[in-house]
Amino acid sequence: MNALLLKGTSTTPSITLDADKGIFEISGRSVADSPSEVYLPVMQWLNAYAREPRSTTLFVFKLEYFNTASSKVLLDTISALSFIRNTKVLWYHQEDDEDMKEAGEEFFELVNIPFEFKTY
Amino acid sequence: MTYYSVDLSEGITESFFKELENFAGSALQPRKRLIGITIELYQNIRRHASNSEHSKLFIQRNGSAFSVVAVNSVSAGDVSYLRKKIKYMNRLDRVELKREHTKILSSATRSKKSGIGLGLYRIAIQSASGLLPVFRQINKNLFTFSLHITLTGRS
Repeated sequence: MNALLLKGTSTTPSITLDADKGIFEISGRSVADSPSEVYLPVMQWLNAYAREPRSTTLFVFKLEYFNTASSKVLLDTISALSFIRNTKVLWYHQEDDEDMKEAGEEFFELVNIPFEFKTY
Repeated sequence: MTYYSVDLSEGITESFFKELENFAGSALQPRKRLIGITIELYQNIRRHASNSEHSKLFIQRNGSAFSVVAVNSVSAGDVSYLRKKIKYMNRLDRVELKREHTKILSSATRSKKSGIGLGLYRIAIQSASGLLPVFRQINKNLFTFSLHITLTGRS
């Protein structure tokens, strides 16, 4: 399937969803006022990928900032991953960024999918 | 003591981040909290302002502590709701605020003005001393709503 590659801006994240290369990553800033527009193609891509996923999927979130308007769409994205077999979320946060770690823990509480917390 | 006034007409640009990073200093957690909270307040002002001529957003730095003040206009009909909501939030401790935040997130549907009601909770969780609201009447239909937030390192 075609990769979804979106370059990040000052308010939107870089998105790389490439099934052939096994790269699944959302990184940077997600602080747009209307983030649904950004995440709609992500949801569509994941729905298609879920029909024929790789044997394992490691989905990386490496966000510098995300606003509360993005919280819901991030939760929706992570929830969509729970329909893909053998998927794990790798939630990255900067070493001293307890708030970003807690944000990942909150998502983990709300979904039925394994998380691994990593620092960068 | 230094002050920084956020330009509300520019949008959230690279220079928005650079200027705030310079103002906030090098300590990661307070800098990220300040920028995160400023983004929430900025978008809140743009989303909810009844009249943008009264809107202001500025930050005061005193050593490692920051005070953020967001001034917005709200319709008279919203004042009572906002007072009650903030009074309720200020009674909650950090664990209770986080629990409420999670509850809202898990059941969220977006409001007409695009927010889902999480912004104030996130700000309150990260604030060192709760939310201080000040309402001033402009006319029969309009109030200014000033929200004062204090940030230190770890709350």
